[in-house]
Amino acid sequence: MFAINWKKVLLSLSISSVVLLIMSFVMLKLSIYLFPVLTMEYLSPVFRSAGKMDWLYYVHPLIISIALLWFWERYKGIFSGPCILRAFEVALVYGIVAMIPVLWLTFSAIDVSLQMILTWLLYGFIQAFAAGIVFAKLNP
Amino acid sequence: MILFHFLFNPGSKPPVAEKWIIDRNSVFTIEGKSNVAPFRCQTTEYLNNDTITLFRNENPNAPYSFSGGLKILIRWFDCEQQVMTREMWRTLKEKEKPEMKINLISITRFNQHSQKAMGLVDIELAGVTKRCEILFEVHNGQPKLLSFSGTRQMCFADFKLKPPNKLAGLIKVEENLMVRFKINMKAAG
Repeated sequence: MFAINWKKVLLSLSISSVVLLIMSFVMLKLSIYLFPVLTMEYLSPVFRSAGKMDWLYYVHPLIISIALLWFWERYKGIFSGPCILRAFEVALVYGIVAMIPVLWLTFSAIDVSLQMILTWLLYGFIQAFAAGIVFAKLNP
Repeated sequence: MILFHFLFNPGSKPPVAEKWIIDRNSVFTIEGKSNVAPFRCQTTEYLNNDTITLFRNENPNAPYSFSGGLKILIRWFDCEQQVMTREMWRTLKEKEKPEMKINLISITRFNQHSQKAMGLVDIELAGVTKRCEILFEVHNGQPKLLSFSGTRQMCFADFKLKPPNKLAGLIKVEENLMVRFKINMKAAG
């Protein structure tokens, strides 16, 4: 099997979680500014009202970071080249393998627009790219 | 109560009772803001044939009084965006209380043409009634037509409602609302 450097792993995980949390706020603010009509769709009854479950939203960067870090630790050997290229490949794999099938299912089951689904795909891709850069820099 | 008053005060003249039918082109608007964009929910058509009675009494110091009111189905509100419309219906508890009721209580005396008059109104929404004063502009130019237009600042909390708030509070509607009334009436009979 492969040896794990826990110090590096935990540092990567912490930084990646913080980066993704900050990005989630920045990207939401950007979407309010750039696509106000589309962002109004978040007021739809299909989205849960703020309340006791809010923590789930704020924890999502940690969950994504754990999943991507596991993937990185397991398969980083097959990604070669400069840091940005490795991060791009991680984002591409995450987008194709994880995001597209789940978003396809989401679109088939929940009343959200195609534009909203596409923003989520882009958001997931950018998240994985950012996490990939953190991992490639700190835990190459 | 009015009959009772005049039965035991034979000296005073009974007020003149006028029956008015609420017209289809009456419009009720709720305007608000979210941290994304402003929104506007408006009734497209008033489909009830509600009748109200206006009592004009002779006492120059007393306001005119009303009996009766209007019933507006929450589903008549359209917020231009389907998602906002459905969320507003949910917020206003359309399933539990499908009607918003506006009972006109009284209005200060007015004559013909455009005049401002202070109206006293009970608004019942989501099972909660709030009494408020509304400064109406009264249009009384034509003999068989009467119209009251007015606005009133309100908030969701007035009716124990919570404004829409999503994504852990990152997308939210502000507490304050501007409610606009345009009540058009035709003389009955």
